[in-house]
Amino acid sequence: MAVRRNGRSVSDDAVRRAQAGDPDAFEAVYRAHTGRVYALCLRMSGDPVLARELLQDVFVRAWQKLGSYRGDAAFATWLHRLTVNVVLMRWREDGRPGAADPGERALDNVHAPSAPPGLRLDLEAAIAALPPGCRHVLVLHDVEGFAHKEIAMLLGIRNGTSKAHLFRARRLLREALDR
Amino acid sequence: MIPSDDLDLKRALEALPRTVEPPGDLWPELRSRITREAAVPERRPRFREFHWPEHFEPRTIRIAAGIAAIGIGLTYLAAATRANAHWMLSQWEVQRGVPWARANVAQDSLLHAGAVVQTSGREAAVVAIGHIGRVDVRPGTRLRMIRATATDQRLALDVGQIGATVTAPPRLFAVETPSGVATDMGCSYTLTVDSTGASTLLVTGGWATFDERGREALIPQGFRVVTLVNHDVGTPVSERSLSRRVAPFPGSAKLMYADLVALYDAGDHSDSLVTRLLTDAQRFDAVTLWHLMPKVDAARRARVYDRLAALAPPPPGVTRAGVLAGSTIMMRLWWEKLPGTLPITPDVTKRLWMLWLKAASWL
Repeated sequence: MAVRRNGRSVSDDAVRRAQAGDPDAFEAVYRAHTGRVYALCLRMSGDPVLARELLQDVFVRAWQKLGSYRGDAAFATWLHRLTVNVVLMRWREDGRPGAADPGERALDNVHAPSAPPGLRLDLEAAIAALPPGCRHVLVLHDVEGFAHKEIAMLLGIRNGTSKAHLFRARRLLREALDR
Repeated sequence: MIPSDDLDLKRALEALPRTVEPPGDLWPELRSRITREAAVPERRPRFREFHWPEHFEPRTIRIAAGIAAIGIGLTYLAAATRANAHWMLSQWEVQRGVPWARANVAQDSLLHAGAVVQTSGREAAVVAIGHIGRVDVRPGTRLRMIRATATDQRLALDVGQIGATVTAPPRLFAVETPSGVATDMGCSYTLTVDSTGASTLLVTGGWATFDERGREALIPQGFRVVTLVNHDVGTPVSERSLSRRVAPFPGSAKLMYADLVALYDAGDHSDSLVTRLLTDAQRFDAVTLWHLMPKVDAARRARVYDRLAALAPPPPGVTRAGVLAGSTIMMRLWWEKLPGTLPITPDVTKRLWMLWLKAASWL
């Protein structure tokens, strides 16, 4: 079965060969998924420099953990979950930083072909400027489509806290975009 | 267009690109990291891997610590109880003396079910009951081992005298006699069986019960009960009444108060005897009158009630009408207020304890 991401396709065969230790096959996997993973890292961290590091960490981790991928779910789903875990782990290791304002840098490397440029850039910057807790919940819920229950488990918070973060994030976003 | 409400904002967020190309090609750097940090990917596990969470929330830690503490506590309790049960199961041991023992006495002096310890007129023995107590076998005694399980330690005294000291939970240790069963409630006592099979139970510490034909006597410390073969269980009488002489009684010039009780238990239910039992009763005879209450006929029960109420006023909740109607709850409430008595162990407590002992013995 072929998986199409970012205009490229990667087959299950490439994943299987990568599991067997083939770096070339893993490169194919990387190139098929790098855009999606980087987007998530960038939005979750709000910092393009950190997002680059996270991107590498995700794929190193994926390489190490490929053996545990059993094909129960789509590889993209497995990798997506791994990405969220790596980002959150880094966030915790760093003492939960991110209150700093990385919003301007977040704009530097955003290249998207489809959305209205003005709105998208404003929105990306506003997301990057959110407090980390709110930003994580907003990205996971409104952009990535996670349910509050899943987010609560991932972040180690209560369901209600996740909803509160989302409410606050949306309010902050509206205020930022209205300015 | 600037989003002005949640719906617009949601649409705008959903419209964000799902992919964003990273600046530059990171693959060469990534490849070198892969080859440096993890040359070979982990092998596919045969079973699903278990991963510790990478971060424990304080609440999770508190819950885990609580569960661990409860687990350790229960394990300790079970181990302690099981050790006790194990000792109960370790049978009987003759500690000193050379009794004329029959049947199943092993070389190591352990006594198994069915064993008989019989002492001559000059012999005595001590039988250890696991860790829960000891039985002194006096001269001229025949004692049989009936059962030794986690929840039932049982002997049979055919004749002679034993002194038992038991620290087990209530109703764990019992001695059968030809005229009834003495059950330990956490006490020490002397039990004598004469050649006719009549039993005399004298409680020297705590309290015990003696039951026969479905009737049970509660015997507190300092009381004695004599039960004849083929008779109802006797009426407990205070040790002080053993030597307390009463006024001359028809047919018997010198009688003690305990003798009056013995006459009643032997079948003399005459009005004159009952009258004498009531009029000569003193405060420490309240236990005797309490036991007498259900034994007398309905016509005399009111007289017994009035005398007992005069010696030991009933507590709140106990009424004359209720007692005369045979309320066991009221009688129990009154019992716990009688001088020198101890609270009766609720049945549910006994059952829970027995269940726990059984469970612990299976561990």
